[in-house]
Amino acid sequence: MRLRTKLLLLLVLCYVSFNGHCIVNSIDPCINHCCIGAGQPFGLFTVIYADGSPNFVGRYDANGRGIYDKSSLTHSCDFTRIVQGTVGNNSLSASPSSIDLLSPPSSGTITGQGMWATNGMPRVDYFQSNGYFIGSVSATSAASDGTWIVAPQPDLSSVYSGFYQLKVTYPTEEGFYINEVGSASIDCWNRDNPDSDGDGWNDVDDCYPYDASRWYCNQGGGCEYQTYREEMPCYEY
Amino acid sequence: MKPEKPLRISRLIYSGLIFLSLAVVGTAIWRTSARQTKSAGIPQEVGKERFYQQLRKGVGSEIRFAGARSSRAEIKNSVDSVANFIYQRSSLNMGDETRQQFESAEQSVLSGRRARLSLDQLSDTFVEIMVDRLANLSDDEAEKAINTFRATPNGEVTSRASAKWGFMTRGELTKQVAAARQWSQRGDQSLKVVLRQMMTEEVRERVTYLSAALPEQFGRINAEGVTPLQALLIGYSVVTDDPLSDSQEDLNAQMAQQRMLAYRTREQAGYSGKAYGPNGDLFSTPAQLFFDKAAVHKLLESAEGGQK
Repeated sequence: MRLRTKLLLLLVLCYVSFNGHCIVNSIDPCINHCCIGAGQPFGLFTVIYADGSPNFVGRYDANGRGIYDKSSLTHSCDFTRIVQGTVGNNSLSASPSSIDLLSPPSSGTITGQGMWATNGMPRVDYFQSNGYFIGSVSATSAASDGTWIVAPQPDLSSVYSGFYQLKVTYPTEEGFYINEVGSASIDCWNRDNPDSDGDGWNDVDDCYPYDASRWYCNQGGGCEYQTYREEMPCYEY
Repeated sequence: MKPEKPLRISRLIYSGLIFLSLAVVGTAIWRTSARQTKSAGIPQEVGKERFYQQLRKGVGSEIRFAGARSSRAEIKNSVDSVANFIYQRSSLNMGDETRQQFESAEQSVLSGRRARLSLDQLSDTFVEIMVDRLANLSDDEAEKAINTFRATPNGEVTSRASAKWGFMTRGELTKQVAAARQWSQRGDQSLKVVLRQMMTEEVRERVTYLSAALPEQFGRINAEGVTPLQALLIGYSVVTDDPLSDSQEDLNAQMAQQRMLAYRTREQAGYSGKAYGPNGDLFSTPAQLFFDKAAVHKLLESAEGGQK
């Protein structure tokens, strides 16, 4: 079939396919992630291959649809079974809740409820307020009634001043950290995000971190600053 | 056990075809709209109304278009609001010169000295931009563009966030881009016909939902056409497949949730920290290829061609 004929055929098929459909243009997370059927909304789960690995951890969305990422393109989304975790939105308290980054304490205590150590010590995950992961630590001791845990501080040497979220999970019988307890927040201080030229824009957000007269990448051409996020150069139009 | 996804439905066609924003030309086409509604598990009408609310929180709240009686300062503010909206969502930056050009063009149209661009003219302009860009695409640009699309769990890529044009492997996409470039260089009319159909569909889709959700801002564009600034916004939406919904705060929350779930660190490559555009956290497209100074200049030229 000649190219021109193919294209015309395609055109007709396009028209037949789309005509009359009102497609709401929204992102379906299942396009770029693996998805499974119903589960408890917002709960964590893990899917397990027949050989026991890898164990993909995902989360159910508001509609109870499970979304997860596989760790390697050599694997498909297929799995042999699902283990569902419990959902916990408890408000926990961290102590200390304010941390001097120049002399951080070696450990901290988190109090609340439901921090069970039956299948192993609970884990504390640290996140920036915008969701970036900082590090995880395992509790070193826990109350038998689940009301407190003590855990070492993660490496905070590259952390800047600001609020951080701590999320506590405890393991299932098989050791998957998908039972969520809740979260606490801490206020870290004494190491501000550098603003080398003092123009009010942190270096990481400043196209010209050493030129106080410019910060936006369209102020005089391209963006000098590409050391931190090389994937985000300045695209000017 | 088979997972419900990844959205893989019956393939209706496989054929070389298009793409627009992005180097994509060519693709397999599946009818996915029904599947999306089903997988989302929400009635279409409910989903549509929710989407309209998200649009009001996004483009509806964060952009202010000027009107016929607006002052220069108000027009400047409207250009700035569009520029900021696009930058915050995609890292695509409007240069100073472009800002001034849009202020001037917007004022000409609002004052009645120039006509608005009809939706047909807008689609035609987008096709011209695509064909020109494809014809001049270097091998290096093509490769980078293809790699900008994030792979699905099956290692395939899709040029639309909803995957309504289907999936293909990077190898298939490479061949399609090469073919499209060849056709563009030859000035192949068949390619333009197909692109025109796809572009019209993309523009019409956006016009439909924008005018329904935001009648005060977009209600008249079906009948009267678009101002240069509205044309830019629709073009941005087509190129990046940003539906223009959700406030920046909402997008930040969505991105934060994704990062937390994936335990992603800030240093991890391949994510811009913005929702859309090149390496967008939510959906990544090589938008910079089709949304550059040359493309915007062509768009402005078309707008200026709308003589009263």
